[in-house]
Amino acid sequence: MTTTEDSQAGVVSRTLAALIDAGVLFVLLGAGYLGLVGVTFAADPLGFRFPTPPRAVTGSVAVVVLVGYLAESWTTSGRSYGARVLGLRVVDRHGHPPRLGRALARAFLCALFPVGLLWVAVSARRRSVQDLLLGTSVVYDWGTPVRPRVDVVDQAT
Amino acid sequence: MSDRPARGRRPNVTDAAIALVVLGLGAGWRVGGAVARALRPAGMLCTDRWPCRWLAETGAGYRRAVTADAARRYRALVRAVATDAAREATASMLTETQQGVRAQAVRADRTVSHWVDTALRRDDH
Repeated sequence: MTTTEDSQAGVVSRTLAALIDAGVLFVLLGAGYLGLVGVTFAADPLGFRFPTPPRAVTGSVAVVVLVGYLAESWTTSGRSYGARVLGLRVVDRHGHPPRLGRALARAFLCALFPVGLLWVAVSARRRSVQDLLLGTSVVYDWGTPVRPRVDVVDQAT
Repeated sequence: MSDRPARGRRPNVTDAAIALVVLGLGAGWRVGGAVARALRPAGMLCTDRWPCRWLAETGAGYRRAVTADAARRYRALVRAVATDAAREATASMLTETQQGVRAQAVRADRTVSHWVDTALRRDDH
């Protein structure tokens, strides 16, 4: 196994990171709901009742928030909070954080088809369905930035 | 005058020396006041007449200010040292925990890959 392939993160690390990100999403949605409760109460204190948005609305908001959170994280630093905890980083073919379009598409696919992550366990190069479609990969990064292609070039020269 | 060290700066020997000196001054005023109170009934102190009265009042005011300032400095010093120590201990504990979790996850990744490679009869490159 080459150094480049060995740096690809496995299914356990990525699943744990995804679970942490799910927790982050839960906290964000909870904070948003509390904000909505506050605004509703301030607008009509006497007729206040806890808002009960339809499931379709809740689901749509959750997808929008998750896509925004993941895309923003991946384009800026290449890592969401879960990935930061587990020491992972999302990179494109050149080892850099993905650009906004690619990050948005990847986040959208992750939100709509999270099961695609399980392909990491079967893939020889530890890639999820989203990675295969968009040419990204997730590497271990415990501190210093991992630039697989640069490493390969350095070794070759 | 600021009553706590600058944020993010570890208190140094100078801070500790200043706190000790100010505390010492405050303690001195306290001892002096106690002695004065003890001597006054015996008629050995003329605090009812100028300039003794002025000196006593000025001294009492200064004593209050100094002891309050010393107490503030001392509390700030203790708080800063305790906060720094707690922050360093927490950061160290979190780092060790995080490194442990990451190492376990990487180990599990390799185990899963090995299982899958074995199940699929795939060469390990």
